[in-house]
Amino acid sequence: MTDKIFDHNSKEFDLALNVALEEAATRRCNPNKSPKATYEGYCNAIDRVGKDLAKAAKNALEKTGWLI
Amino acid sequence: MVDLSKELKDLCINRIKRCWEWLCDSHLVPTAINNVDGKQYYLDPCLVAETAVQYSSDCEILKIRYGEKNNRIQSPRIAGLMAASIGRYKPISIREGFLRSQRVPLNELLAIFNGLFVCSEFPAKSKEWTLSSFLKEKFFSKWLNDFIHLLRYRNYTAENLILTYETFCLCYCKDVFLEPKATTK
Repeated sequence: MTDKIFDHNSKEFDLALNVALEEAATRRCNPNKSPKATYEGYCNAIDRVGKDLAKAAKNALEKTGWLI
Repeated sequence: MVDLSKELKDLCINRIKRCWEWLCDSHLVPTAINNVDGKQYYLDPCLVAETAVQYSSDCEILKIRYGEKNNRIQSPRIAGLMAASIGRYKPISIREGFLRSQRVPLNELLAIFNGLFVCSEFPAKSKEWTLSSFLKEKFFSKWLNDFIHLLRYRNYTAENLILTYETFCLCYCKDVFLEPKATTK
């Protein structure tokens, strides 16, 4: 049983791999953005939620003892 | 021909620097002890560069492994790879002469929050911010503490971290997975 699952030469393995790759390609690919646009999106994410995240992080760190 | 590897490295460096600025502005970074001026922690440029090299190298390997022939790469994968590289090289250092008197896990915070920001890069199609919703969950404290503990004391791989961010995106940033179908040439 183990040999069949990990038989990389088997047709079943090829089929499973192709299905997985196709699913990853069609469902999860992001648009082809330029690095500048990607970085702007990153900075916008920080600006949008940065303060809330900082407050939640401080509370969490104080609660768990990392911040005294 | 564009040097994609250099673009990836520059983008990684910019993200790390921006996240570090956010950590400082958020007062999560201890500044000084014993009334000494100046910050005791700083972002080491050499370690940042090494982090970026490791990240871009892992990106290329991942693209080959998953058969992604163009520049497209999932946000959770970016988040996980960067977190692994930051955890490995720990670019935040303490200045000479200062003692490690506080155990704030700065490199771990940099890795974790950078990943969350990467996953939140895309404009949300819904009105409520997914990351804000996540912060309000009751389990956030425990989740953050467990994640810090994993990065600081336990063994992990880049793919473990990719799965963590994928799970986060599946629960809170589903819009990341609704992008247009990739076109293959």
